Amino acid sequence: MSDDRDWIDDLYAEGRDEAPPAALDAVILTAARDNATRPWYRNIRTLTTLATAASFVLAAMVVYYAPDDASLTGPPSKEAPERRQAIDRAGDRAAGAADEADVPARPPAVKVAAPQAPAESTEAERLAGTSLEEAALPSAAAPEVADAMTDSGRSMLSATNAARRAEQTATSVGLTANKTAEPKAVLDDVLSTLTGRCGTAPGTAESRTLLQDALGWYLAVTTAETVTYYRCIDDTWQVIEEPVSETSEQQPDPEDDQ
Amino acid sequence: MTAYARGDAAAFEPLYARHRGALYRYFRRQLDEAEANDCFQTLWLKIIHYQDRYSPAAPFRHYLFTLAHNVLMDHYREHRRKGGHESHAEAVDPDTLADPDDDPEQQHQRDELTGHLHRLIRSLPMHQREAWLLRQETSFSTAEIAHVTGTTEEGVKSRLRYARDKLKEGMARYVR
Repeated sequence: MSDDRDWIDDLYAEGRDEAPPAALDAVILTAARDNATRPWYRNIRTLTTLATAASFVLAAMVVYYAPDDASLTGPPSKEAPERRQAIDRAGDRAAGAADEADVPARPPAVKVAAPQAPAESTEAERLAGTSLEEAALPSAAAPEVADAMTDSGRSMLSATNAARRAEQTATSVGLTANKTAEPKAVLDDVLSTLTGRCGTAPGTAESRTLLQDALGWYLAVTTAETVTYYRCIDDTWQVIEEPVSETSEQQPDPEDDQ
Repeated sequence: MTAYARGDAAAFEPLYARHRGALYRYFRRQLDEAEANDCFQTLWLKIIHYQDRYSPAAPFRHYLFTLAHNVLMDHYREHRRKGGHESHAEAVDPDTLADPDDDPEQQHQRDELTGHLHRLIRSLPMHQREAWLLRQETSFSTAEIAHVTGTTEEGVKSRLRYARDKLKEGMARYVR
């Protein structure tokens, strides 16, 4: 280094006593103390980190617990165990009846005036039909579920009926299994649904009975001589006639179901 | 600084006391008083709020003056957006400096010379001024100044040489 530079350095060093104002020192030192003693939840960086982490956790939970498509469109999950049990019972009872009775096929007990084709049914099939009805409509086995039936539930009932109509052609289980032990509110809902689709229900309130079997809900209009059955198929009432005596024999005792 | 980042509030005061003068003069020699105060406060508040960004791998003075350089550049950019000079230092023409013979009795000669030197420093181009001040206030090596200012060692050497020559030339008329 040259001598020239030395004297410039010395000269500059003489003015190096300049310092920040005391007020500025106080502001900075106070800020430093406040920042060091600030609780973690008032630290903006900590809060930002926590908020980001919470967002990720929330997003992961939403993805993890989001219902899949099947559960959105399928039946309510409460019904599943009962349906499974009823189906199992139906299978057992049908197999048992077939083994014990070995009943030969007999002519159909009903005369079908609607698109449904007459079909043969065995004792085993009739029993199976009865049990399948329990399985398909768990409201009979679990009244508390039926009480909670909503509009979506009624829509499901209609869909189930439509499926049963398709199934009818193949299985022809007949009109032998009736169930009338439903709560009145459920029957009112069903009647309302049927009349909404097929128009005013046949018969009068006194002569009309709402029944169901493996094919779905239907109306029985009873007179002195006959019982006439009406099914709501393709948005119109279809008539199925039966003699009184035979129908009476086929009505199951409600006590059996309880 | 590491102790302060761990929550030891008392660790900050000696740190501040050690560096406050050099940092303040670094700003003050380049800016007017209000701007220097503003930049000085901004710098320390950044250090306080982003305390955990400091890595002990590098000397704290490097970290400190690198931040100071960034604060100064930000200030220049902001000032330029507002229509100010590129180098905000008062552009002092050495020829306009007060003649030391004007009133030698009223002012101490050394103080006056120092004042002239400060004005000359502020008349230097921005990069030359900064390099020269870093050398004076921190005794940084050429390589350290290059690191802090983001340039090459050769560039720093050149800036230091030009700055020294201009200061010598400007002060020659006051120093026998």
